[in-house]
Amino acid sequence: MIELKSIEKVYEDGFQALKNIDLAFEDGKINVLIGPSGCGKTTTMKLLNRLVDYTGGEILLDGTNIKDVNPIELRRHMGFVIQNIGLFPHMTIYNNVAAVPKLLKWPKETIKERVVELLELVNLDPQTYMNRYPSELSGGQQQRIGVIRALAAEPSIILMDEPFSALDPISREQLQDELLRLQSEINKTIIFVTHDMDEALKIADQIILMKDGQIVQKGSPKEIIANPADDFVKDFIGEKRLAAEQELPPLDTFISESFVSIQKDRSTAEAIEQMTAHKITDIPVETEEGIYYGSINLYHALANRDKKLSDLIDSDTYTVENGTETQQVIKQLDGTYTTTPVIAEDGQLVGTLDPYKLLHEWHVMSETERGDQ
Amino acid sequence: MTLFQEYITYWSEDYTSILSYMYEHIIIALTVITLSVLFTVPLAIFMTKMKNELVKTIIFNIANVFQTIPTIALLAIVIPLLGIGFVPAVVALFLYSLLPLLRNTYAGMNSVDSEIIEAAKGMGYGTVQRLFKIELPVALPYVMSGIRVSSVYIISWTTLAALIGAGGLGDLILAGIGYNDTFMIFTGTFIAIIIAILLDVILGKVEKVIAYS
Amino acid sequence: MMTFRKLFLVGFVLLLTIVAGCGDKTSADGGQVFTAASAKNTDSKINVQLLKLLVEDRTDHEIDIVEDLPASPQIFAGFERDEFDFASLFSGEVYNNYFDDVEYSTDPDKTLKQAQKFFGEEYDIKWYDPLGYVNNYSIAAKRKFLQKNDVNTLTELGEYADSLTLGTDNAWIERDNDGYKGFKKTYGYEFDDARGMDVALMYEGIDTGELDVVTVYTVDPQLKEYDLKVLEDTKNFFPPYEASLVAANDVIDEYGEINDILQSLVDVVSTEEMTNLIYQVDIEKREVMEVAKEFLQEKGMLD
Repeated sequence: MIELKSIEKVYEDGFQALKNIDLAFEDGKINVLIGPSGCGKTTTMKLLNRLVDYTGGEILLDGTNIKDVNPIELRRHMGFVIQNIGLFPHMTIYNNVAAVPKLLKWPKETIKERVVELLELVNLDPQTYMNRYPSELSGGQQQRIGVIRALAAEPSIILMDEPFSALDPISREQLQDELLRLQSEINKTIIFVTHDMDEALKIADQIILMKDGQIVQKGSPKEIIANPADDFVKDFIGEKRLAAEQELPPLDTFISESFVSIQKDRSTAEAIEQMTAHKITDIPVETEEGIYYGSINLYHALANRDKKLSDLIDSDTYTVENGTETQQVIKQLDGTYTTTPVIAEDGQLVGTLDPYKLLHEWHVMSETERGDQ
Repeated sequence: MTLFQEYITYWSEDYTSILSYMYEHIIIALTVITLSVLFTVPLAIFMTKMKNELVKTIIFNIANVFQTIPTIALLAIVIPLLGIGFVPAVVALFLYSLLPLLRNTYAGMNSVDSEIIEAAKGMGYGTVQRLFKIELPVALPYVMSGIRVSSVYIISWTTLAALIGAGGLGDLILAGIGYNDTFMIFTGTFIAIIIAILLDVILGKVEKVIAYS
Repeated sequence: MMTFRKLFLVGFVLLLTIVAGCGDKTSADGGQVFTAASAKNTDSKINVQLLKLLVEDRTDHEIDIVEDLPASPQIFAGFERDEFDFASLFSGEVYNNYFDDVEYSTDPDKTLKQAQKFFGEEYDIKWYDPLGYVNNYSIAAKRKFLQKNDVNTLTELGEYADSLTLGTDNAWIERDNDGYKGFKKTYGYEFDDARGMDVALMYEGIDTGELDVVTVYTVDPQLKEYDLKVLEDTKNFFPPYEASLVAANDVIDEYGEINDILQSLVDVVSTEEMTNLIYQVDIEKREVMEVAKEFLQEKGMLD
């Protein structure tokens, strides 16, 4: 666990880059530092491997103050991926990936096995690529090497400074997917700097949003979208993304307050009367204790006026359990104007869904989805 | 007798002195190149690590001053201190070669992408390791091309050694001018060109050997 | 806008005038503009200056001087391309690898005759009789050293040669007849070390003691400045170097008045006088033109 406590960074010219940063990076998670340029996100990341030194506060790495660790040792145990890849042009892919293990004086055989393993991990054939030079690879391939180079010495922490920003959109997406796949296997503590909100929302476990050297908000992508701390955060996320990602109102709000139902022991004529009076085609039937029993269809009842009500009940109708996510319900709507009963866990009839309200919500959702494409 | 035959005769009569001029020339030039590379390359590397812009400017200006002093004046300054012959010639040529070598090496070192340096730093390379394993090898082609260009200059400038009694092919050229002998001028010039080309080729090979080791 | 255009036009016309002026060889007084060439040595510069002063005083013609040419071959090349009309040259040049069938001699008259004949025919020039002074090549050493060991001639110098370093110009070492090779043959000894170098640095070298003996021109003012003494050429090894003015034949054929001026400059400067003139220019740093003018005035050749 990495903890930043009251971190300050003031440059010699008096510029205060970081103000009172209190932060914990979660172990085994992807922690994304995000914000507009100049917000201090890269500076915050570089504090961790001491490429930048702070001027106040302290940073604890599993309880040890990082100032008590030799910076070179510290860096060898943290993976580091930089924006423009930064592969060493005079070294083969093999030597690039093997760089830190060599610095750590791993045995040759171990290094070789590790390099092969890593190349396979990112689907680059070791035999083909090992002896090539970086300039012979595409941008996407180069950054894959950049990522596995950071993984080579099996660090528990990996720092990534806008690693995918220089890539084309397709390669970027691919590498994001690969990073997620990798992370599900390796579970490293990743500190990832980006200015791209889509990227952050896609990969982050924790997002730390910064502005002017301060943390504005931190939390899971869901939390931040659901409760933006202020207008800056809203702006940064963007209206469209908010609309698209915001959760729908809970199902309760769609339950008709003035729903109609009928008791099981009433007559068929009574049921027909109720339905025509309320202009509905189906009516839920409940027991004396209020337990949902089934539904009566108006046309079915009209055709069988002489039969007993209990013989007309269809107990196999579509119902919704109270507490189901609204989105899921909307997705299951088939578009017909039927009365959908909502049933509590104990079988009680809670009410019926308001089809018009739901349809409206369904419409809004499909609109935004279309707009996203 | 054709011109070609005359030239053959000239060689057959004078080849011992021509070869000794050539030998002197090569020795002087190689001494100067070796000394100035040994002095300038570390200095240029040190300068790229230096934060103080003023000191850098001063060093470049000093090197610049040596370049702007007229040859004869520089040689005249050197004589009372070092006398005539090999040593003052080498010293004067050394001073001349400072600027191109310093500038080329400095530019070469500075051409290393700052991203690469940052990556190396962040990966845990120490200052010395970074210099020898990353910065120097990456800058090598630039530094070597600086050395090659400067070496060709030095081969050419070494003809000036003849002005201060150090011999070399300049002797042959100047004698040819004074003695109205085109063969001497041609031979001196031609051999100097050949030496320059050969040295360039050899340094090119050296560069490849270092680069792939 | 108009003014700008006018300015441009004026500039253009001016430029044309200048360019035209360059091509046209007409002097301010309506005469011809000639070119005179001189090598790096000061006496040659003085000689062509004497000619220039007299021609410009007595005729409508003008003379441009091209000086500091590296050596005589460049001057002859200029005559060949009709770039030069006049020059100051030495008789001994005739032994300088120009002609295969010239007969080497240290006799001044024979040398002059050969120079007049060979150069005159080859380059279509007239080689006048000498100006009067002799600027021989010779060997000099520190006066102190010579007095201490009582050495006065090149023959006597031989006794000490194997401990002496000679400084000379780069060409002398390579020359056959009149160079170091011929010297060794004639005098039968060689110096411990012989170094070719720049003439100016050569004097610097003997001054600091790096060199013991140097080749000099007998009129070099540095002999006086550095207290050097020329050794007597007992075996008449060094070829005579008598300075003459030369002129392209087509020029003097057409302009008789210039031929007269050139004739009037024969035998007017003694060796002593020339040494003095050179001293004024090289050591006292006076202008060649001033020194030459004063000399002509003293001689009553110029007002």
